[in-house]
Amino acid sequence: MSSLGEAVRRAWYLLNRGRFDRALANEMDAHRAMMRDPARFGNTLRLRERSRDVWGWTWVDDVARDIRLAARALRRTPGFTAVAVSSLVLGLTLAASAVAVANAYLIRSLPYPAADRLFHVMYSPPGPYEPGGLSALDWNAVRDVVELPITASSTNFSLGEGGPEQQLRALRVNSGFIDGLGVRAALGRSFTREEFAPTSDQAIMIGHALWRDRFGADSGVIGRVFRAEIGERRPEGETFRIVGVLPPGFWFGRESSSVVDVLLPLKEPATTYMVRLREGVSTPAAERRLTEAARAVATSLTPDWTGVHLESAHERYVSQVRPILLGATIAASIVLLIACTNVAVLVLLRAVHRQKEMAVRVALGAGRRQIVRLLVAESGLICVIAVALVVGLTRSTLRVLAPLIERQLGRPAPRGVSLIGVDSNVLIVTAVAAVVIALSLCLVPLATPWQRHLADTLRNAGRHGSDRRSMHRLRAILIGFELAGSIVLLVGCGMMIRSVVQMVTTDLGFRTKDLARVRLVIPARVYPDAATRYAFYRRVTERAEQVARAKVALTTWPPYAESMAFPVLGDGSGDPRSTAGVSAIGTDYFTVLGIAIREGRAFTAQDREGTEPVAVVSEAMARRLWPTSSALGHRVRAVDRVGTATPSTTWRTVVGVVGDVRQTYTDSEIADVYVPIFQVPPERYVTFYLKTGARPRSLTTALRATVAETDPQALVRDVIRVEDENRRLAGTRFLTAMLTAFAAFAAFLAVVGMYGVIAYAVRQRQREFAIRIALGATRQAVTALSMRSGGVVLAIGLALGSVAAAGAGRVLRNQLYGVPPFDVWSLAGAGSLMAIAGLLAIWWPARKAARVDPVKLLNEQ
Amino acid sequence: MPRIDGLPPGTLVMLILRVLAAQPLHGYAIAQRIAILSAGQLSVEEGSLYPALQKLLLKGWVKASAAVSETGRAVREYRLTPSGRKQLAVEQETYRRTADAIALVLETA
Repeated sequence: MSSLGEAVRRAWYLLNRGRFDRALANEMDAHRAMMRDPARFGNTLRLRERSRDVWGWTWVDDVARDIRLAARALRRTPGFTAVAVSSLVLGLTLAASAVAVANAYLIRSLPYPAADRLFHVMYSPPGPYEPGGLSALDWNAVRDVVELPITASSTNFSLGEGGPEQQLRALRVNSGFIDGLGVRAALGRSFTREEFAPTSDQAIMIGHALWRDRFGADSGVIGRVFRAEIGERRPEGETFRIVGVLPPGFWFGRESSSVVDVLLPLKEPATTYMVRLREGVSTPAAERRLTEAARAVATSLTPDWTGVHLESAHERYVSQVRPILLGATIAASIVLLIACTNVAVLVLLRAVHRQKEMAVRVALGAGRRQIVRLLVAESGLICVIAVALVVGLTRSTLRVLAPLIERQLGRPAPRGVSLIGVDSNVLIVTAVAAVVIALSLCLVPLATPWQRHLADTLRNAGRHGSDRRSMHRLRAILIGFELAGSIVLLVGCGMMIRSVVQMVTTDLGFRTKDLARVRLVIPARVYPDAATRYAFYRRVTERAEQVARAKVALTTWPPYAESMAFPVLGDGSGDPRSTAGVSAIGTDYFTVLGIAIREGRAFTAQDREGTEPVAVVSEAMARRLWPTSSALGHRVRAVDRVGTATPSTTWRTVVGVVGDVRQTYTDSEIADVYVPIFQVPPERYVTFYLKTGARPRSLTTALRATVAETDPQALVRDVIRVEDENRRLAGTRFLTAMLTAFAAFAAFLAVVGMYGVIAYAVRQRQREFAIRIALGATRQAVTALSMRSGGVVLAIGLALGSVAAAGAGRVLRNQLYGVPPFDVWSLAGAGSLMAIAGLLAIWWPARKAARVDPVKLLNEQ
Repeated sequence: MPRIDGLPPGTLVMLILRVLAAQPLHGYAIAQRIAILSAGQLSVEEGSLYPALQKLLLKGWVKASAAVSETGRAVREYRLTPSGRKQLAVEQETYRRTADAIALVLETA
């Protein structure tokens, strides 16, 4: 008599119900036949039902019957069903897609074990410079808070053997990197302890993509020894032995697209910028301990040093995209709510229509329970159909849109490129939303009057079912809610559009239209010193200018990247110690980037190695260093190399003053110093800009060919349109486009809902209108009469929406540019748009009703 | 004396188990057996017999198998299972104690 046995028997019964039922019927027939007085047996059917009840499965049949009835009812009104299902599908797909993207970025962790305990270590705040000597930090002393220091120092790795020369992305990493990021070899093994010893052989792990593309996915690659050029230390190259292959998609760095090609054991001291904290250690506690440890070894600590700061690795990855994703998710949820409200309105109207049908059912003996069950089954069925479609639709939507979304957000999902999809999180959220929607829609018919005045309803057979005040009010509330939601979205959309306009019309101080950026890298082996590098710079710019038939501008610092501030010394009366963005540039930089020259001159070909050191400063810099006089002729000391903390000893004479440049929309450091690129130590990396005109693609090919011609060993790292680098504008545009689409859809739904309700109300009162017209009312008066109730709803919706729109400003606050969070213009625009659309939606059916010929109508009825 | 109408509550299951303990029977025969054994005093209503049999099947106290009645009709024969036998013992014991207790009250009150 175990309950398990009972459950098994119950299940067995469910599966063999038909057979069981037949056996029971036979048995009862036999019983009856054997009785002397078969009439005493009673109602066989009833008896069979009572016997079946014992097994506890009758509800299955009941539900099946309800579903059958509901399906039949829905099939009878295909228009209603199609509109209801498609509204829900669109709304849910939108919301599910938004949730999927938000989930991929904000909820799912970075692809490392214990990723929530991974933190970036920042030694430098508040200034850009970090103290020296930090590579000597004693990690053993902070073992109580830091489980593993994760150290990686990036290095150049040129692989030439057995194929064309390739620049690879290589990292020297400590053992904490291997353990802390859970690096497991897909093939071979990861590093052993001994391989981190300074004297050991050079073991390397190679990335999956490199293994596949360069080594043809050959498993024999393990143990292979080859020569490669690493860093700038030994141009003749070193030998390496491959010990393992990294798993596919392994990445480390700013983005999940930064795939690692080569891992090497780190053998010299290096500064650690990432840690895995011990479980349960709070960030402030760890920061305190790390600050102490850093203070013990740091050199050149400034008095305003605020200590070591930690930032969650996941947080840094997603902090920029979070507001956009939240905004999109909220907007999509509002659209979903509006879509659901619309369906609710439809269900209400349908319920009124069906009063007669319900009355007949009640007259035939259906109880309240049965009626409610039927209505619930109908709403449930609509939701089930919708959800079934939504999952598939969301999947395919994301498949198409994910790459686009990733491009617009500026970085791929943390788990890797295009890992935006429908996972269990998304399914759960969708399912919960669907259940809530289904339950709410089920509640709607409960509000409808179905039993009272049964006789009245049946008697009114010729006319539409009676409608009552509470129903009017409920519909008005729902429509008002839809209008308010649409207003919120429209206001958000309006503010974003205004932000984009503001951004586009903002003068950042430079022009990027049709501008391409080319980044090159040259091997240290071929270009060991300044003379050879300068020669290469000159040769390649000359060739590029010939190919592009345009001026080429060399530089070391790209726009749209927040520039670091470097210390600058001036000889002037103003603040002698100052900071500024410092770029080394070629001759035509200001022309190519469209930066205005205010005073003096730009650099010329004569500003080169060996001639008088010169500089050009921005207006803001000039004002700061020499507030009272012209900057020309004054002298300034700046850094020679990006990343160095102290100004060089070279005094440069200021020969020109140019317009201020804001690197980004929020850049506050507009003081800049420019130095001639041929007067500072040259790097192996060269960046230049040129105008591409209308043919960026063909030019890219031509440029690559030119560079290869100039020197086959120089590599074009990338050629990009500078406009694409304007991430902030791109992100704002993306959010704007999305919000516009959402708002348009929401407004459309609201207007349709409004139209439906008014059209219905007007049809209800058609007799009344006909009588009024017959008695002498003008058509205008009748139109106004039917518009009045709609007008009230419209007004209330607009008022509610205006209040709620303040919330939209709050959510979008960080995405707005030059627009206040409560933007009157957007509100006015959204309000009038909605008012006009709403008035049209109520005027149209009202006018139609007033145009009916009263004689014809009254005769018909 | 007129026949007793219906059965004391809770005793139907026990009676069915008891008559099946002697031999496997089909539905009609169970009703007959109970009527005969009680000398016509007790009658099992068909309305309660079949739901009760379903309950016994569900609880696993009896098993049903296809059989042919004395009149040549296809019927189902119910057979006691070991757990049914145990249940019968439990029910008889409970019934006896209840009956004794009731008798005690009736005699001494």
